[in-house]
Amino acid sequence: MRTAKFVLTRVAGMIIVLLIVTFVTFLVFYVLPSDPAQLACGRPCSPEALSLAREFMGFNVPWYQQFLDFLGGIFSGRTFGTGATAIHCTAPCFGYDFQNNVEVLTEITDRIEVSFSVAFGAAVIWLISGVGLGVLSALRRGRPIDRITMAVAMAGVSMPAYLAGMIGITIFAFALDVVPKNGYVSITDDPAQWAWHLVLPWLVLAFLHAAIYARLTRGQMVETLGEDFIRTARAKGLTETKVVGKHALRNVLLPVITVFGVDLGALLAGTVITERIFGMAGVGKLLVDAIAGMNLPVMLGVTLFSALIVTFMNFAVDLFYGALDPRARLT
Amino acid sequence: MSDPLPVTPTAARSLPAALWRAIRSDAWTMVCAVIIAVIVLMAVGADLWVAVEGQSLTPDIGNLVNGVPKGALGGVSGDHWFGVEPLTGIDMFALVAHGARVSLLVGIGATVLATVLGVLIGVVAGYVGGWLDRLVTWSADVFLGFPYLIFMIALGAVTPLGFPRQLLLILVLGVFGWPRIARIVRAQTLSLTKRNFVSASKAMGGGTWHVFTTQLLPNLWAPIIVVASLTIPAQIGSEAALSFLGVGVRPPTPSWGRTISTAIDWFETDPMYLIFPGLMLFLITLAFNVVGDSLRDELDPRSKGRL
Repeated sequence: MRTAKFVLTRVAGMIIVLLIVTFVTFLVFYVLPSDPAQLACGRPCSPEALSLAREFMGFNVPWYQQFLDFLGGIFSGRTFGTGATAIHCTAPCFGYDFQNNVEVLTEITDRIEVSFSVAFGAAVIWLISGVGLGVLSALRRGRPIDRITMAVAMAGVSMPAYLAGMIGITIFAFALDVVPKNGYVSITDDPAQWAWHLVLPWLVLAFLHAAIYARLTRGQMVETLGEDFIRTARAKGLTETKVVGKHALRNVLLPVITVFGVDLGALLAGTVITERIFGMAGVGKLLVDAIAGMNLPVMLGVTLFSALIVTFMNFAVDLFYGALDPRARLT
Repeated sequence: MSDPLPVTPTAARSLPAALWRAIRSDAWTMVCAVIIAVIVLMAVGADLWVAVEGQSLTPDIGNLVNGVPKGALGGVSGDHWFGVEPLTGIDMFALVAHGARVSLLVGIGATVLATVLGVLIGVVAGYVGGWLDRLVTWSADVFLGFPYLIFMIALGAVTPLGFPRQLLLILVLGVFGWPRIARIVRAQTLSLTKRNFVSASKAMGGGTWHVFTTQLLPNLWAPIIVVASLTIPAQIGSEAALSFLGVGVRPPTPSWGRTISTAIDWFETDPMYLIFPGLMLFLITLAFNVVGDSLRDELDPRSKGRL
């Protein structure tokens, strides 16, 4: 019962967050003085053609009506224009790209595999290596291994992604020529090549993020190892592996998971930069291209889609947190 | 009344004294403080140093051969300390020095805005409590979970060209930066308001403003300064990332992020083009992080060795 209530409150919170994000994003894109119809109309653009374009795209109604139309499109799809030229955008409709004549959602789903491959592979590597190094540093506090790890972590935290990416490409792709310089191979085509092309982006992203996790884990571990229940566990005669790996680590992981939830948002945006450096055509590339071409429906669609994913990830982390720490279920 | 929540012990010394102790605490922090000082001086006196070098921000294709800088190492010489930019022949030292100005202006401006917003919102939430507190906590969660970089990219793309870009960056980065600071300030305020001296002040008839300025704020500045000093490098990095993606500072205003973005395409022919702005960005971020870290250790002895 309590678990059901916990899950339901979180779901309700997630829906409200998404509605607010949609509303704000919509407002920013459609109230600011840039007119998608004007951009799509081309030159020369007669007033008649412009008003036709506006009507076709659904911009001839007040902004709140447009917002409701947009929301309705997500749930039940929508049709642009009438008669033979009408374009139907099936539900869930995140908008229609009038420049390329595709549904925005189709464009996103075509490229999502790239972004997900980059993000999740890197996340797995950095979580394992970051937490592992953090624990190691905490256990060898003040020794050379601790000092080296923390110095490297400080450099990793301070390094911009594109700089680390360029250094990685220079060393491993150009100088040593051991990994591919750019490009992406679909996992369905060739899993080995897929992993091979992703190794460098994974390692670069993991290096940048693992640093934060190593520092966080180390700090938490040092603090936890000083707690009374650890002394009790040792006094019971448990092996050091059990004390650290089971009793201490469970406490250390709580803040780490919280940071991980927040980081997923930054990570999805981070692939914008990673994809540019490693020449991969994912959702980040879609957004960058849309910005260059002032393709408003695509920009709006990608922003909302990212918000959707981030909010959902945070929700998942919340649930996981509840499973790991019974106290969190009470709030 | 007891103290149900722990309060971070506040060091009873002035900020300059704490900063000085933090800097002297080890050689690394000292080196990093010097790096910050050098880059700040470079930014403030950019025009002067560039004049000393005898160059300017104007393109000069006389420095190039087939679009590539004349001479080895990207044209590094006594005349051009950091070499010249390919294709335009603009002096790289001038670009880097003026870029430092933009980076620091946006980084510090956004941090100040985020701190002011965060402190006000956090104190009000912690002091008033109730539904206002829940609203603030919840909004902070929304802001932290928002894919803000994507949002900023999109916002940068649709904002009219006439709007000053540096101001836009300060506003956007500042507005998205408040939740982290508000969270910390709220937690501190929450535990402070339960303490006897605050109750005493209220009992003696102190108004909200009086309690805020004389009872709460003096006990809040240490955590505020620490968060702010660690926010600056994050904001500098965000500015560079946005400029790198072409939605930050617009040409002809120099920006490290934008220079790095073009330099990547030249990396094989002219690696020095990337090294100077890239190294500067790395150094300033690293330096602020290290000094901020030491300052935290100094102001909050319990945190020693923590993140």
